[in-house]
Amino acid sequence: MSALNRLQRAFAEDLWGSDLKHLQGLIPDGRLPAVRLLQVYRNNFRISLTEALEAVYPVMQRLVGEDFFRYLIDRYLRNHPPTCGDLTQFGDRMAAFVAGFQPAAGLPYLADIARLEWACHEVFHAPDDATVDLDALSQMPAEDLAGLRFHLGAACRLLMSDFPVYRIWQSNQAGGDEPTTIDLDRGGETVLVLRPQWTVQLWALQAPAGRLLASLCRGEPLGEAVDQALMLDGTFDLQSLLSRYLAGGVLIPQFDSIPSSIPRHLHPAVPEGAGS
Amino acid sequence: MNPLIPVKPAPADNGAIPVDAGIGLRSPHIEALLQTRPAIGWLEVHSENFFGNGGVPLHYLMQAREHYPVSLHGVGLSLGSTDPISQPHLRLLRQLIDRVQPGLVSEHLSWGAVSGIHFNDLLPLPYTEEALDHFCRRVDQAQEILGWRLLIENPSSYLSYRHSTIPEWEFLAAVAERTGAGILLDINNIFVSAFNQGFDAETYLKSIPASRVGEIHLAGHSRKQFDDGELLIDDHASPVCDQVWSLYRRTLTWLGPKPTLIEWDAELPPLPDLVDQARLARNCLNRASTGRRETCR
Repeated sequence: MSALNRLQRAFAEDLWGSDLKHLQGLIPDGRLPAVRLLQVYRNNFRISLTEALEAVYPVMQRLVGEDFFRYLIDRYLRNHPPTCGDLTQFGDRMAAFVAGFQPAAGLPYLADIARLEWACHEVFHAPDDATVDLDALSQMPAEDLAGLRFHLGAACRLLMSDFPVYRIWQSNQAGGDEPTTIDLDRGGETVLVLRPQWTVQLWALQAPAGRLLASLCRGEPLGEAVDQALMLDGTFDLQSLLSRYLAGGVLIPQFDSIPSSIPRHLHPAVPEGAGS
Repeated sequence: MNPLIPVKPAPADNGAIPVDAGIGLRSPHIEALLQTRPAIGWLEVHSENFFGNGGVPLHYLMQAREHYPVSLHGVGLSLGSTDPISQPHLRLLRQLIDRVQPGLVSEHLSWGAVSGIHFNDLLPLPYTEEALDHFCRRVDQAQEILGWRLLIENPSSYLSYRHSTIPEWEFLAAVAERTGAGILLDINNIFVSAFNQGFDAETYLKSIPASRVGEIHLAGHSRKQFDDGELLIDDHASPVCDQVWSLYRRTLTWLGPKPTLIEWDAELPPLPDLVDQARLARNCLNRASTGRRETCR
């Protein structure tokens, strides 16, 4: 181990506050005693990473209050510190961490709020999808459409919760209304996170829409997913909903998922000019 | 939109950073920037904020890039670390360079990670022969993989090490000499470190080889009074102070005019205030290039 490596390891111990003796011997007192100079770095480390997570989890912070949030972040940081120099991935295990965080056990919906906020963060940074060829889709025979499978757009996330997470999220926006009472027993919500026009939006889905997307996300073909959604509400206008999802890049058709009877020009693997 | 700020036309340039004043672009300002297109020479962004393979940040950066040359300023490569250099990080930076076609790419004379844990800070290196050899090897590695000549920035620091044997200015100049890298001279950092560590800022600045300096940074700091002493904290949360402006003007007489960036990272002012700071720097640059010595504020 090189001297430089030993020094950096000692510095790390100091930042974590676990060994304050070793490094201090290597640092002369300056305008402040060495121990106080190191405190500046300990603070920077904690504050900068806390701020990074505050930016990702503002609703969670509002729900638990600043002091509790800082305590939670301190514990999170010790368990899941950043492992790369790009902080975009830092905080990715918050939902699982919160779910097992005993002091927050009184807020059973907190982990789902963390999942929702992480979904927003991911959608913000997600790559852009190629545009869906809506014309090709509209030309498909009905029986092929029924067998077609879809996946969610790269910049979309679907979140199903046993709690009214959308209402909780909505009523805890910065500068929002006065606190409202939300009845946790009123049932769960399914939320779609997406970013039309480069702005992250949350849509609370009605039950049939949620069921439709959930079925499609599980890999079921469109026909079956539609049947399941209509079981919840036979009058639901799925046609216009589907058009909206397709136009908005929420659903991406997997053209290679349909049987070989499909017109060749719909298959993306066909070389240019070889199809219709 | 501020009617006093002339709208800058799209440049027909190759993306090179001009010898002019630029601003560090932070996300809360991007909308105002795109709408008003203030007359500033160039923009600098933190590279890591745009490492996504698409997404909202990159979308807006590419729009800004249509109107301004851009410099990519890294804060997370941790060049001074003894951990192996991060190949994924370099790949992402390389991808960003290919997309943005920046005029400059810079990183810091510091370390930020050990044993796989990143501390998200620019931590001080000891200035020893061992650290110099190590740092130069890492700069060589990064430059080779990126296919790009880096600028290396002096950090602000609050402490020194007993076993350091080389003054920071000699260390920085040696890195440039050995690796071919350029220097990003942060005048505010020198001012802050000089106060905190008790060295002479002018000695530092006069020792820097002018031909190596590719960029200058200016920023605000704060003075923090404790029971047991006083420190300058490099918080980038206020305008550039008079003493740093003065040091900057003198630096320009020693180095000649260099592309100069105003950094403001916390407690962000409205964009026009930042543009005003850039205008002050531009005045200094204009006067430095015409050789006039009168005050430029």
